[in-house]
Amino acid sequence: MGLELYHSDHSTCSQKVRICLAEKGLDWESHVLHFASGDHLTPEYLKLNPNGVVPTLIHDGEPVIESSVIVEYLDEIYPQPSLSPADALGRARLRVWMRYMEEVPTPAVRVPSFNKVFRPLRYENASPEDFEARIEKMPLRKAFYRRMGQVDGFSSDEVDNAIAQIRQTCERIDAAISENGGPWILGEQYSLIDVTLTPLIQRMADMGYGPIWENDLPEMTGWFARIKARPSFATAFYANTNLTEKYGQFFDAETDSDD
Amino acid sequence: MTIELYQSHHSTCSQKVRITLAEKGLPEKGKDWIAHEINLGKFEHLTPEYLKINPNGVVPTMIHDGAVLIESSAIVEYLDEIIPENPLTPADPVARAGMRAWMRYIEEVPTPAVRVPTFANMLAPARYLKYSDDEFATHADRLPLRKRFYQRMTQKGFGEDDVNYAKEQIRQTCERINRAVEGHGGPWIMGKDFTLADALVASLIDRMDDLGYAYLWEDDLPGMVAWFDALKARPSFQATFYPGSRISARYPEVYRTAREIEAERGY
Repeated sequence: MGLELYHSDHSTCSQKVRICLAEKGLDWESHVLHFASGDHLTPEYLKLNPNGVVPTLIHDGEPVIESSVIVEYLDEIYPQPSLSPADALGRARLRVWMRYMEEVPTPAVRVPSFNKVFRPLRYENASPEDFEARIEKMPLRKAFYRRMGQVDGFSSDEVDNAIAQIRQTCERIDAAISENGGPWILGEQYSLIDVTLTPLIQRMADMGYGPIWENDLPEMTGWFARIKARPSFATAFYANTNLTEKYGQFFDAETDSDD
Repeated sequence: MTIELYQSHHSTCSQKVRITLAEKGLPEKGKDWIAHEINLGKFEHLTPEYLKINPNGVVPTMIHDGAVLIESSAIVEYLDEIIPENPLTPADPVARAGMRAWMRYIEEVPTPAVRVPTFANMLAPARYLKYSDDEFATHADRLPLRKRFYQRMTQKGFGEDDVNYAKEQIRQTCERINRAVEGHGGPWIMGKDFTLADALVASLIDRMDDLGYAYLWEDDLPGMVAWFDALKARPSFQATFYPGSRISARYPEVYRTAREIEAERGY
Protein backbone atom coordinates (compact mmCIF):
# COMPACT_ATOMS: atom_id res chain seq x y z
CA MET A 1 0.00 0.00 0.00
CA GLY A 2 1.26 3.52 0.63
CA LEU A 3 2.00 5.73 -2.36
CA GLU A 4 2.59 4.50 -5.89
CA LEU A 5 3.10 6.69 -8.95
CA TYR A 6 2.53 5.71 -12.57
CA HIS A 7 4.65 8.25 -14.41
CA SER A 8 7.27 8.84 -17.05
CA ASP A 9 10.77 10.21 -16.51
CA HIS A 10 10.44 13.16 -18.85
CA SER A 11 6.69 14.02 -18.75
CA THR A 12 6.22 17.51 -17.31
CA CYS A 13 3.02 16.47 -15.53
CA SER A 14 4.85 13.57 -13.87
CA GLN A 15 7.60 15.98 -12.86
CA LYS A 16 5.02 18.27 -11.22
CA VAL A 17 3.98 15.41 -8.93
CA ARG A 18 7.56 14.23 -8.26
CA ILE A 19 8.52 17.73 -7.09
CA CYS A 20 5.50 17.80 -4.78
CA LEU A 21 6.37 14.38 -3.34
CA ALA A 22 9.94 15.55 -2.75
CA GLU A 23 8.80 18.78 -1.07
CA LYS A 24 6.67 16.68 1.27
CA GLY A 25 9.56 14.30 1.94
CA LEU A 26 7.48 11.28 0.91
CA ASP A 27 8.64 7.85 -0.23
CA TRP A 28 6.78 6.28 -3.12
CA GLU A 29 6.89 3.27 -5.37
CA SER A 30 7.65 4.01 -9.02
CA HIS A 31 5.91 2.51 -12.06
CA VAL A 32 7.48 3.98 -15.19
CA LEU A 33 5.28 3.92 -18.30
CA HIS A 34 6.73 3.90 -21.81
CA PHE A 35 4.61 5.81 -24.30
CA ALA A 36 6.40 4.29 -27.27
CA SER A 37 5.08 0.85 -26.25
CA GLY A 38 1.61 2.28 -25.59
CA ASP A 39 1.72 1.53 -21.83
CA HIS A 40 -0.63 4.49 -21.16
CA LEU A 41 -3.37 3.13 -23.46
CA THR A 42 -3.65 -0.47 -22.22
CA PRO A 43 -7.08 -1.49 -20.86
CA GLU A 44 -5.54 -2.00 -17.39
CA TYR A 45 -4.09 1.51 -17.27
CA LEU A 46 -7.24 3.12 -18.74
CA LYS A 47 -9.12 1.57 -15.83
CA LEU A 48 -6.96 3.61 -13.45
CA ASN A 49 -6.82 6.67 -15.68
CA PRO A 50 -9.62 6.93 -18.29
CA ASN A 51 -7.86 9.89 -19.93
CA GLY A 52 -4.89 7.70 -20.88
CA VAL A 53 -2.25 10.14 -19.66
CA VAL A 54 0.37 10.18 -16.93
CA PRO A 55 0.65 10.56 -14.01
CA THR A 56 -1.67 8.50 -11.82
CA LEU A 57 -1.15 8.33 -8.06
CA ILE A 58 -2.34 5.31 -6.12
CA HIS A 59 -2.81 5.99 -2.43
CA ASP A 60 -3.74 2.99 -0.29
CA GLY A 61 -5.25 1.39 -3.41
CA GLU A 62 -7.28 4.43 -4.53
CA PRO A 63 -6.35 6.04 -7.87
CA VAL A 64 -6.05 9.83 -8.03
CA ILE A 65 -5.58 11.39 -11.50
CA GLU A 66 -4.68 14.81 -13.00
CA SER A 67 -1.40 16.31 -11.84
CA SER A 68 -3.07 19.45 -10.43
CA VAL A 69 -5.54 17.33 -8.49
CA ILE A 70 -2.82 14.98 -7.25
CA VAL A 71 -0.65 17.78 -5.83
CA GLU A 72 -3.67 19.35 -4.12
CA TYR A 73 -4.61 15.92 -2.72
CA LEU A 74 -1.08 15.35 -1.40
CA ASP A 75 -1.17 18.77 0.23
CA GLU A 76 -4.43 17.88 2.00
CA ILE A 77 -3.35 14.41 3.14
CA TYR A 78 0.17 15.43 4.18
CA PRO A 79 -0.36 18.98 5.46
CA GLN A 80 3.27 19.63 6.47
CA PRO A 81 5.03 21.49 5.02
CA SER A 82 1.97 23.27 3.66
CA LEU A 83 2.04 24.25 -0.01
CA SER A 84 -1.26 26.23 0.03
CA PRO A 85 -2.25 29.49 1.72
CA ALA A 86 -4.14 29.08 4.98
CA ASP A 87 -6.92 31.56 4.11
CA ALA A 88 -9.73 31.14 1.55
CA LEU A 89 -8.77 34.22 -0.46
CA GLY A 90 -5.15 33.13 -0.72
CA ARG A 91 -6.28 29.67 -1.81
CA ALA A 92 -8.55 31.20 -4.46
CA ARG A 93 -5.60 33.19 -5.81
CA LEU A 94 -3.50 30.04 -5.89
CA ARG A 95 -6.28 28.29 -7.85
CA VAL A 96 -6.52 31.17 -10.35
CA TRP A 97 -2.81 30.63 -11.03
CA MET A 98 -3.33 26.87 -11.27
CA ARG A 99 -6.11 27.27 -13.85
CA TYR A 100 -3.96 29.70 -15.84
CA MET A 101 -1.03 27.26 -15.69
CA GLU A 102 -3.29 24.49 -17.05
CA GLU A 103 -4.87 26.57 -19.80
CA VAL A 104 -1.91 28.57 -21.07
CA PRO A 105 1.67 27.31 -20.50
CA THR A 106 0.90 23.57 -20.11
CA PRO A 107 -0.49 23.15 -23.66
CA ALA A 108 1.93 25.76 -25.05
CA VAL A 109 5.01 23.81 -23.92
CA ARG A 110 3.76 20.76 -25.82
CA VAL A 111 4.06 22.58 -29.17
CA PRO A 112 7.87 22.99 -29.32
CA SER A 113 8.33 19.70 -27.42
CA PHE A 114 6.43 17.76 -30.06
CA ASN A 115 8.01 19.63 -32.94
CA LYS A 116 11.53 19.02 -31.70
CA VAL A 117 11.28 15.54 -30.23
CA PHE A 118 8.03 13.62 -29.94
CA ARG A 119 6.75 13.94 -33.52
CA PRO A 120 10.01 12.82 -35.13
CA LEU A 121 10.54 10.21 -32.39
CA ARG A 122 7.09 8.62 -32.37
CA TYR A 123 5.28 9.43 -35.58
CA GLU A 124 7.70 10.15 -38.39
CA ASN A 125 7.98 6.56 -39.49
CA ALA A 126 4.33 5.61 -39.02
CA SER A 127 2.10 5.20 -42.06
CA PRO A 128 -0.65 7.86 -42.37
CA GLU A 129 -3.24 5.19 -41.49
CA ASP A 130 -1.27 4.11 -38.45
CA PHE A 131 -0.92 7.74 -37.33
CA GLU A 132 -4.68 8.29 -37.62
CA ALA A 133 -5.41 4.99 -35.84
CA ARG A 134 -3.14 5.96 -32.96
CA ILE A 135 -4.83 9.35 -32.61
CA GLU A 136 -8.26 7.72 -32.66
CA LYS A 137 -7.30 5.64 -29.63
CA MET A 138 -6.50 8.70 -27.51
CA PRO A 139 -9.25 9.68 -25.08
CA LEU A 140 -8.06 13.32 -24.92
CA ARG A 141 -6.28 15.80 -27.20
CA LYS A 142 -6.95 14.28 -30.63
CA ALA A 143 -7.17 17.78 -32.12
CA PHE A 144 -3.70 18.59 -30.84
CA TYR A 145 -2.20 15.70 -32.80
CA ARG A 146 -4.22 16.52 -35.93
CA ARG A 147 -3.05 20.12 -35.88
CA MET A 148 0.51 18.91 -35.49
CA GLY A 149 0.23 16.57 -38.45
CA GLN A 150 2.38 13.54 -38.90
CA VAL A 151 4.79 14.98 -41.42
CA ASP A 152 5.03 18.73 -41.02
CA GLY A 153 4.74 19.33 -37.30
CA PHE A 154 3.16 22.51 -35.99
CA SER A 155 3.29 25.52 -38.30
CA SER A 156 5.62 28.40 -37.47
CA ASP A 157 2.46 30.34 -36.63
CA GLU A 158 1.50 27.78 -33.97
CA VAL A 159 5.05 27.80 -32.59
CA ASP A 160 5.08 31.62 -32.45
CA ASN A 161 1.78 31.58 -30.59
CA ALA A 162 3.10 29.01 -28.10
CA ILE A 163 6.24 31.10 -27.49
CA ALA A 164 4.04 34.18 -26.94
CA GLN A 165 2.06 32.24 -24.34
CA ILE A 166 5.23 31.19 -22.51
CA ARG A 167 6.43 34.78 -22.65
CA GLN A 168 3.11 35.92 -21.12
CA THR A 169 3.51 33.33 -18.36
CA CYS A 170 7.04 34.56 -17.60
CA GLU A 171 5.86 38.18 -17.57
CA ARG A 172 3.13 37.27 -15.09
CA ILE A 173 5.60 35.46 -12.82
CA ASP A 174 7.96 38.45 -13.04
CA ALA A 175 5.14 40.91 -12.24
CA ALA A 176 3.84 38.78 -9.36
CA ILE A 177 7.24 38.68 -7.68
CA SER A 178 7.78 42.41 -8.24
CA GLU A 179 4.41 43.16 -6.66
CA ASN A 180 4.51 40.80 -3.67
CA GLY A 181 8.23 40.99 -2.99
CA GLY A 182 8.87 37.28 -3.60
CA PRO A 183 10.75 35.07 -3.28
CA TRP A 184 7.91 32.87 -4.62
CA ILE A 185 4.93 33.45 -6.92
CA LEU A 186 2.45 34.01 -4.09
CA GLY A 187 5.01 35.86 -1.94
CA GLU A 188 6.74 34.37 1.07
CA GLN A 189 5.15 30.95 0.81
CA TYR A 190 6.50 28.44 -1.70
CA SER A 191 3.28 26.88 -3.05
CA LEU A 192 1.72 24.45 -5.50
CA ILE A 193 1.98 26.99 -8.30
CA ASP A 194 5.77 27.14 -7.93
CA VAL A 195 5.71 23.32 -7.96
CA THR A 196 3.61 23.00 -11.11
CA LEU A 197 5.21 25.75 -13.19
CA THR A 198 8.73 24.45 -12.56
CA PRO A 199 8.71 21.53 -15.05
CA LEU A 200 7.20 23.75 -17.77
CA ILE A 201 9.92 26.37 -17.41
CA GLN A 202 12.62 23.72 -17.04
CA ARG A 203 11.44 22.09 -20.30
CA MET A 204 11.67 25.42 -22.12
CA ALA A 205 15.11 26.12 -20.62
CA ASP A 206 16.29 22.62 -21.55
CA MET A 207 15.17 23.09 -25.16
CA GLY A 208 17.16 26.32 -25.39
CA TYR A 209 14.36 28.83 -24.91
CA GLY A 210 15.86 30.54 -21.83
CA PRO A 211 16.29 33.84 -23.74
CA ILE A 212 12.47 34.21 -23.63
CA TRP A 213 12.93 35.48 -20.07
CA GLU A 214 16.64 35.72 -19.28
CA ASN A 215 17.35 39.04 -20.97
CA ASP A 216 14.71 41.35 -19.58
CA LEU A 217 12.74 39.64 -16.79
CA PRO A 218 15.10 39.70 -13.78
CA GLU A 219 12.51 38.65 -11.20
CA MET A 220 11.50 35.67 -13.32
CA THR A 221 15.16 34.75 -13.81
CA GLY A 222 15.82 35.02 -10.07
CA TRP A 223 12.76 32.88 -9.31
CA PHE A 224 13.96 30.11 -11.60
CA ALA A 225 17.47 30.20 -10.07
CA ARG A 226 15.95 29.80 -6.58
CA ILE A 227 13.72 26.97 -7.84
CA LYS A 228 16.72 25.07 -9.18
CA ALA A 229 18.52 25.45 -5.85
CA ARG A 230 15.78 23.61 -3.95
CA PRO A 231 16.57 19.99 -3.12
CA SER A 232 13.22 18.92 -4.65
CA PHE A 233 14.47 20.00 -8.07
CA ALA A 234 17.41 17.58 -8.04
CA THR A 235 15.18 14.79 -6.72
CA ALA A 236 12.51 15.24 -9.42
CA PHE A 237 14.96 15.79 -12.28
CA TYR A 238 17.11 12.71 -11.82
CA ALA A 239 19.36 11.55 -14.67
CA ASN A 240 17.75 11.38 -18.12
CA THR A 241 14.61 13.33 -17.21
CA ASN A 242 15.45 16.22 -19.52
CA LEU A 243 14.79 15.89 -23.25
CA THR A 244 18.31 16.98 -24.20
CA GLU A 245 19.77 14.16 -22.11
CA LYS A 246 17.35 11.48 -23.16
CA TYR A 247 16.92 12.48 -26.81
CA GLY A 248 20.08 14.43 -27.55
CA GLN A 249 19.99 13.33 -31.18
CA PHE A 250 17.14 15.80 -31.85
CA PHE A 251 19.06 18.77 -30.53
CA ASP A 252 21.93 19.12 -32.97
CA ALA A 253 22.52 22.44 -34.72
CA GLU A 254 20.42 21.46 -37.70
CA THR A 255 17.16 20.78 -35.87
CA ASP A 256 17.64 23.91 -33.78
CA SER A 257 17.69 26.12 -36.83
CA ASP A 258 13.99 25.74 -37.59
CA ASP A 259 12.67 27.74 -34.63
CA MET B 1 -21.25 40.11 3.32
CA THR B 2 -21.47 41.89 -0.05
CA ILE B 3 -21.08 39.95 -3.26
CA GLU B 4 -20.84 41.72 -6.60
CA LEU B 5 -20.63 39.85 -9.87
CA TYR B 6 -19.40 41.28 -13.15
CA GLN B 7 -21.18 38.95 -15.48
CA SER B 8 -23.13 38.43 -18.65
CA HIS B 9 -26.58 36.81 -18.83
CA HIS B 10 -25.68 34.22 -21.41
CA SER B 11 -21.99 33.50 -20.65
CA THR B 12 -21.64 29.88 -19.54
CA CYS B 13 -18.92 30.79 -17.03
CA SER B 14 -21.16 33.46 -15.46
CA GLN B 15 -23.88 30.83 -15.28
CA LYS B 16 -21.49 28.47 -13.44
CA VAL B 17 -21.11 31.06 -10.70
CA ARG B 18 -24.82 31.96 -10.65
CA ILE B 19 -25.87 28.34 -10.12
CA THR B 20 -23.33 28.02 -7.30
CA LEU B 21 -24.54 31.23 -5.65
CA ALA B 22 -28.09 29.88 -5.83
CA GLU B 23 -27.03 26.52 -4.37
CA LYS B 24 -25.32 28.38 -1.52
CA GLY B 25 -28.54 30.19 -0.63
CA LEU B 26 -27.95 33.37 -2.68
CA PRO B 27 -30.31 32.86 -5.62
CA GLU B 28 -31.59 36.30 -6.33
CA LYS B 29 -29.75 38.73 -8.55
CA GLY B 30 -30.16 42.30 -7.31
CA LYS B 31 -31.13 41.10 -3.83
CA ASP B 32 -28.68 38.43 -2.67
CA TRP B 33 -25.86 39.73 -4.86
CA ILE B 34 -25.21 42.82 -6.95
CA ALA B 35 -24.94 42.35 -10.71
CA HIS B 36 -22.76 44.44 -13.00
CA GLU B 37 -23.82 43.48 -16.49
CA ILE B 38 -20.93 43.33 -18.96
CA ASN B 39 -22.03 43.62 -22.59
CA LEU B 40 -19.68 41.28 -24.44
CA GLY B 41 -21.09 42.38 -27.80
CA LYS B 42 -19.83 45.88 -27.02
CA PHE B 43 -16.51 44.44 -25.74
CA GLU B 44 -16.97 45.86 -22.26
CA HIS B 45 -14.76 43.01 -21.01
CA LEU B 46 -11.78 44.53 -22.81
CA THR B 47 -11.89 48.08 -21.42
CA PRO B 48 -8.84 49.25 -19.41
CA GLU B 49 -11.02 49.51 -16.27
CA TYR B 50 -12.26 45.95 -16.55
CA LEU B 51 -8.81 44.56 -17.42
CA LYS B 52 -7.58 46.09 -14.18
CA ILE B 53 -9.80 43.75 -12.17
CA ASN B 54 -9.61 40.83 -14.60
CA PRO B 55 -6.33 40.76 -16.57
CA ASN B 56 -7.61 37.83 -18.65
CA GLY B 57 -10.42 39.97 -20.10
CA VAL B 58 -13.17 37.43 -19.50
CA VAL B 59 -16.30 37.20 -17.37
CA PRO B 60 -17.12 36.60 -14.60
CA THR B 61 -15.30 38.55 -11.89
CA MET B 62 -16.60 38.44 -8.33
CA ILE B 63 -15.97 41.07 -5.65
CA HIS B 64 -16.47 39.77 -2.12
CA ASP B 65 -16.27 42.50 0.54
CA GLY B 66 -13.77 44.33 -1.68
CA ALA B 67 -11.61 41.29 -2.58
CA VAL B 68 -11.39 40.58 -6.31
CA LEU B 69 -11.80 36.98 -7.50
CA ILE B 70 -11.55 35.70 -11.07
CA GLU B 71 -11.91 32.32 -12.87
CA SER B 72 -15.27 30.65 -12.50
CA SER B 73 -13.89 27.38 -11.13
CA ALA B 74 -11.76 29.19 -8.53
CA ILE B 75 -14.76 31.37 -7.60
CA VAL B 76 -17.07 28.42 -7.02
CA GLU B 77 -14.53 26.66 -4.78
CA TYR B 78 -14.07 29.91 -2.86
CA LEU B 79 -17.83 30.30 -2.37
CA ASP B 80 -18.04 26.73 -1.15
CA GLU B 81 -15.27 27.40 1.39
CA ILE B 82 -16.56 30.71 2.79
CA ILE B 83 -20.22 29.59 2.99
CA PRO B 84 -20.13 26.22 4.75
CA GLU B 85 -23.89 25.53 4.58
CA ASN B 86 -25.03 23.24 1.76
CA PRO B 87 -21.54 21.91 1.01
CA LEU B 88 -20.87 21.23 -2.67
CA THR B 89 -17.59 19.39 -2.07
CA PRO B 90 -17.27 15.82 -0.71
CA ALA B 91 -15.83 15.64 2.81
CA ASP B 92 -13.67 12.62 1.99
CA PRO B 93 -10.29 13.53 0.38
CA VAL B 94 -10.38 10.77 -2.26
CA ALA B 95 -13.92 11.74 -3.31
CA ARG B 96 -12.85 15.40 -3.29
CA ALA B 97 -9.96 14.53 -5.63
CA GLY B 98 -12.44 12.63 -7.80
CA MET B 99 -14.63 15.73 -8.01
CA ARG B 100 -11.63 17.89 -8.84
CA ALA B 101 -10.57 15.48 -11.60
CA TRP B 102 -14.07 16.05 -13.04
CA MET B 103 -13.57 19.82 -12.72
CA ARG B 104 -10.27 19.68 -14.61
CA TYR B 105 -11.90 17.51 -17.31
CA ILE B 106 -14.80 19.99 -17.60
CA GLU B 107 -12.34 22.87 -18.04
CA GLU B 108 -10.20 21.03 -20.58
CA VAL B 109 -12.80 19.24 -22.70
CA PRO B 110 -16.43 20.47 -22.75
CA THR B 111 -15.76 24.12 -21.79
CA PRO B 112 -13.67 24.92 -24.89
CA ALA B 113 -15.71 22.48 -27.05
CA VAL B 114 -18.99 24.31 -26.37
CA ARG B 115 -17.44 27.54 -27.65
CA VAL B 116 -17.07 26.03 -31.12
CA PRO B 117 -20.75 25.54 -32.07
CA THR B 118 -21.63 28.67 -30.08
CA PHE B 119 -19.33 30.74 -32.27
CA ALA B 120 -19.98 28.85 -35.50
CA ASN B 121 -23.78 28.88 -35.20
CA MET B 122 -24.49 32.11 -33.32
CA LEU B 123 -21.68 34.55 -32.61
CA ALA B 124 -19.99 34.49 -36.02
CA PRO B 125 -23.21 35.43 -37.87
CA ALA B 126 -24.38 37.78 -35.10
CA ARG B 127 -21.12 39.63 -34.45
CA TYR B 128 -18.10 38.78 -36.58
CA LEU B 129 -19.17 38.06 -40.16
CA LYS B 130 -19.22 41.77 -40.98
CA TYR B 131 -15.53 42.17 -40.04
CA SER B 132 -12.80 42.45 -42.64
CA ASP B 133 -9.75 40.19 -42.20
CA ASP B 134 -7.79 43.12 -40.76
CA GLU B 135 -10.53 44.17 -38.38
CA PHE B 136 -10.90 40.62 -37.15
CA ALA B 137 -7.13 40.18 -36.68
CA THR B 138 -7.05 43.42 -34.68
CA HIS B 139 -9.89 42.18 -32.51
CA ALA B 140 -8.17 38.82 -31.85
CA ASP B 141 -4.97 40.68 -30.92
CA ARG B 142 -6.74 42.55 -28.12
CA LEU B 143 -7.58 39.34 -26.26
CA PRO B 144 -5.25 38.46 -23.37
CA LEU B 145 -6.28 34.79 -23.59
CA ARG B 146 -7.62 32.69 -26.46
CA LYS B 147 -6.25 34.73 -29.38
CA ARG B 148 -5.49 31.47 -31.07
CA PHE B 149 -9.09 30.31 -30.70
CA TYR B 150 -10.28 33.40 -32.59
CA GLN B 151 -7.55 33.10 -35.19
CA ARG B 152 -8.51 29.49 -35.87
CA MET B 153 -12.16 30.41 -36.06
CA THR B 154 -11.83 33.40 -38.41
CA GLN B 155 -14.82 35.74 -38.68
CA LYS B 156 -16.73 33.08 -40.64
CA GLY B 157 -16.96 30.59 -37.80
CA PHE B 158 -15.34 27.18 -37.57
CA GLY B 159 -15.11 24.61 -40.33
CA GLU B 160 -16.44 21.09 -40.45
CA ASP B 161 -13.52 19.37 -38.70
CA ASP B 162 -13.61 21.71 -35.70
CA VAL B 163 -17.38 21.49 -35.29
CA ASN B 164 -17.37 17.71 -35.58
CA TYR B 165 -14.55 17.35 -33.07
CA ALA B 166 -16.37 19.65 -30.63
CA LYS B 167 -19.48 17.48 -30.95
CA GLU B 168 -17.35 14.40 -30.32
CA GLN B 169 -16.00 16.00 -27.13
CA ILE B 170 -19.50 16.89 -25.90
CA ARG B 171 -20.63 13.37 -26.67
CA GLN B 172 -17.69 12.02 -24.64
CA THR B 173 -18.67 14.30 -21.73
CA CYS B 174 -22.26 13.02 -21.89
CA GLU B 175 -21.06 9.41 -22.01
CA ARG B 176 -18.95 10.00 -18.91
CA ILE B 177 -21.87 11.60 -17.04
CA ASN B 178 -24.05 8.70 -18.15
CA ARG B 179 -21.50 6.12 -16.96
CA ALA B 180 -21.09 7.89 -13.61
CA VAL B 181 -24.82 8.15 -12.97
CA GLU B 182 -25.53 4.58 -14.08
CA GLY B 183 -22.51 3.28 -12.17
CA HIS B 184 -23.49 4.57 -8.73
CA GLY B 185 -27.21 5.15 -9.28
CA GLY B 186 -27.04 8.94 -9.34
CA PRO B 187 -28.74 11.27 -9.36
CA TRP B 188 -25.57 13.46 -9.53
CA ILE B 189 -22.12 13.08 -11.03
CA MET B 190 -20.48 12.16 -7.70
CA GLY B 191 -23.48 10.18 -6.41
CA LYS B 192 -26.27 11.25 -4.12
CA ASP B 193 -24.97 14.78 -3.47
CA PHE B 194 -24.99 17.67 -5.93
CA THR B 195 -21.40 18.97 -6.18
CA LEU B 196 -19.30 21.60 -7.93
CA ALA B 197 -18.83 19.15 -10.83
CA ASP B 198 -22.58 19.32 -11.54
CA ALA B 199 -22.52 23.11 -11.10
CA LEU B 200 -19.69 23.53 -13.62
CA VAL B 201 -21.03 21.30 -16.36
CA ALA B 202 -24.70 22.41 -16.05
CA SER B 203 -24.39 25.56 -18.17
CA LEU B 204 -22.42 23.75 -20.86
CA ILE B 205 -25.11 21.10 -21.34
CA ASP B 206 -27.83 23.75 -21.18
CA ARG B 207 -26.04 25.69 -23.94
CA MET B 208 -25.86 22.60 -26.14
CA ASP B 209 -29.54 21.98 -25.46
CA ASP B 210 -30.35 25.60 -26.31
CA LEU B 211 -28.45 25.31 -29.61
CA GLY B 212 -30.44 22.18 -30.48
CA TYR B 213 -27.79 19.52 -29.86
CA ALA B 214 -29.75 17.41 -27.34
CA TYR B 215 -29.73 14.69 -30.01
CA LEU B 216 -26.14 14.01 -28.88
CA TRP B 217 -27.46 12.36 -25.72
CA GLU B 218 -31.22 12.01 -25.63
CA ASP B 219 -31.65 8.82 -27.63
CA ASP B 220 -29.22 6.41 -26.04
CA LEU B 221 -27.84 7.81 -22.76
CA PRO B 222 -30.65 7.40 -20.21
CA GLY B 223 -28.43 8.19 -17.22
CA MET B 224 -27.42 11.47 -18.83
CA VAL B 225 -31.07 12.29 -19.62
CA ALA B 226 -32.05 11.56 -16.00
CA TRP B 227 -29.20 13.80 -14.76
CA PHE B 228 -30.31 16.71 -16.97
CA ASP B 229 -33.98 16.27 -15.93
CA ALA B 230 -32.98 16.31 -12.26
CA LEU B 231 -30.86 19.42 -12.89
CA LYS B 232 -33.71 21.27 -14.58
CA ALA B 233 -35.95 20.49 -11.60
CA ARG B 234 -33.61 22.20 -9.10
CA PRO B 235 -34.54 25.70 -7.92
CA SER B 236 -30.95 26.85 -8.60
CA PHE B 237 -31.47 26.04 -12.26
CA GLN B 238 -34.47 28.36 -12.50
CA ALA B 239 -32.54 31.11 -10.68
CA THR B 240 -29.57 30.77 -13.05
CA PHE B 241 -31.42 30.58 -16.32
CA TYR B 242 -33.77 33.48 -15.81
CA PRO B 243 -35.70 34.75 -18.85
CA GLY B 244 -33.38 36.20 -21.47
CA SER B 245 -30.29 34.39 -20.15
CA ARG B 246 -29.88 32.01 -23.09
CA ILE B 247 -27.94 32.74 -26.22
CA SER B 248 -30.97 31.95 -28.39
CA ALA B 249 -32.71 34.90 -26.69
CA ARG B 250 -29.64 37.15 -27.05
CA TYR B 251 -29.53 36.85 -30.84
CA PRO B 252 -32.99 35.62 -31.95
CA GLU B 253 -32.43 37.08 -35.41
CA VAL B 254 -29.68 34.57 -36.23
CA TYR B 255 -30.92 31.62 -34.14
CA ARG B 256 -31.58 28.36 -35.91
CA THR B 257 -31.48 24.87 -34.42
CA ALA B 258 -28.44 22.64 -34.98
CA ARG B 259 -30.54 20.40 -37.25
CA GLU B 260 -31.61 23.35 -39.41
CA ILE B 261 -28.03 24.58 -39.67
CA GLU B 262 -26.72 21.09 -40.45
CA ALA B 263 -29.34 20.60 -43.21
CA GLU B 264 -28.00 23.68 -44.96
CA ARG B 265 -24.31 23.78 -44.03
CA GLY B 266 -23.73 20.03 -44.08
CA TYR B 267 -22.23 19.79 -40.55
